[in-house]
Amino acid sequence: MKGLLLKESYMINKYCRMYLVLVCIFGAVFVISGNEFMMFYPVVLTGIIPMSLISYDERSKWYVYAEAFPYSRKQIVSAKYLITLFYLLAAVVILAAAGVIKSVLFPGGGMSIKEYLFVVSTVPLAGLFIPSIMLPPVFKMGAEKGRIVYYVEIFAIALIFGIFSEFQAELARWLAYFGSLIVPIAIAGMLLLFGISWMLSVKFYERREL
Amino acid sequence: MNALEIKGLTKAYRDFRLDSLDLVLPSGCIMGLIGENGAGKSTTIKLILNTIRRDAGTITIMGKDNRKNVQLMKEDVGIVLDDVGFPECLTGKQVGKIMRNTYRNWDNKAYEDYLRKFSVPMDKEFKDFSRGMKMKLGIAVAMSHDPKLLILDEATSGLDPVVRDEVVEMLNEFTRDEGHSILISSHIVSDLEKLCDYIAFLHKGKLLLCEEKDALLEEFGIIHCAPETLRELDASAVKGKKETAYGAEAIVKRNAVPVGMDVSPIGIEELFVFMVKEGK
Repeated sequence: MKGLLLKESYMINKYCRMYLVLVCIFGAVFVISGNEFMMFYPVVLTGIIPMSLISYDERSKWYVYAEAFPYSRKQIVSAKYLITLFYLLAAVVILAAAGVIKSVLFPGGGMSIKEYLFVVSTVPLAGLFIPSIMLPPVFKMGAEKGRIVYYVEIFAIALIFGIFSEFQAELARWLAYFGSLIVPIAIAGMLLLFGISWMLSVKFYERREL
Repeated sequence: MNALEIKGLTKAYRDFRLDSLDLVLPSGCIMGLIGENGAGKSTTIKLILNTIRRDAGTITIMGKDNRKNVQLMKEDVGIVLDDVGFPECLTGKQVGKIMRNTYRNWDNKAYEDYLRKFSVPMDKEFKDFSRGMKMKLGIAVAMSHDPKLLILDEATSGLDPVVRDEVVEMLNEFTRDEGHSILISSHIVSDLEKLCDYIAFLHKGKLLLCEEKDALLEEFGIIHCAPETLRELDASAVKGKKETAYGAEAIVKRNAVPVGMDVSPIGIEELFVFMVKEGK
């Protein structure tokens, strides 16, 4: 497993450095502008990293060659999920640092500490969502076909949101009912989704013929 | 103990079937798996590695079922596939570091010695390697963790003759230890003829034969004669034949032709080609 993580880190260092640079740039823009969107966008981008790595693996045929080494399929899948978490953590640390810098440079301006903590705690949720729904089909069918399934998933989710938008008032009442519990519930729900996604990916990849 | 035992191995695709394959590779020996492209060599190796599911049969590696304790089993097996698929951005040095954290018995000094011997640069990225260099890196990795069994799928193709000779020599050296064995598939028969103790012919998913190389060369020979003379021979003595306007050529069992008949020695490649054509 250590060997796999090292391999992933070499690949990230080579192919995905730009993502971290983007996180820093967006963090700096957030410091200057105070626009919270600047914190979500780069984190959503970092959620795409595992898919980029899988595409590179397929291009070099590593996904077949890896079978020559003493790695289990479960470890190969887990390495991608762990690297996603590490990278998200790094992005959140950078963005949190940006928030601290902003509060030092512009004390009293923009968000309160409470609002800021809300943003920092929900930012990783945005980063976990994409890999959670994208990785299982990719591990089942490969990057190319898996991506098509992902677009279908996104369409289905958009459709569901469209249907729910009809009931905005009721939805707002429900959210108000949960009150301050909404953030912990959202975090727990997203972690559950990420865990289910990992289990499905392991199951799909163990069954796949390479 | 046998290094590898395959019994009744079957795998069916829509347009190809590996049909009830039986193979036994004794410890300390080298077996060459010879077959034309699409004969089933790579399918056999994929089944040994468990990357595809079999329809029937059993595979044991050093006495153990290859579907149990797969990771432990792979610690003792060095594998080189026809496509050495390291990520393109990795250098030889980085591959060494990854493998040090992958194999329990990784010997980094041996790995660096192999790379030096093969003139494979340590700091060049994999994407800039030639096919031969990629193969040499794959062989160096496969041999640097003290494996007991080496499985090589078309490992000598794409190498120049000098390097192929070096590789053959190195593989010979590897089997000087009685506990070391090799299964090597190739369609470059001359390499296997130099190297192997056992030869297995695979054709369209079926095993045509699997025997000791020396016994094969003793058992079979080639005759050049008139077509009428060939027709007079016992049909069971003839394993393959070719008739032209100038005469006939046939692979025969030496002990089944009349005494005194001029039978010349045959090479493995000729034997394979004749048998495959006979099977068509």
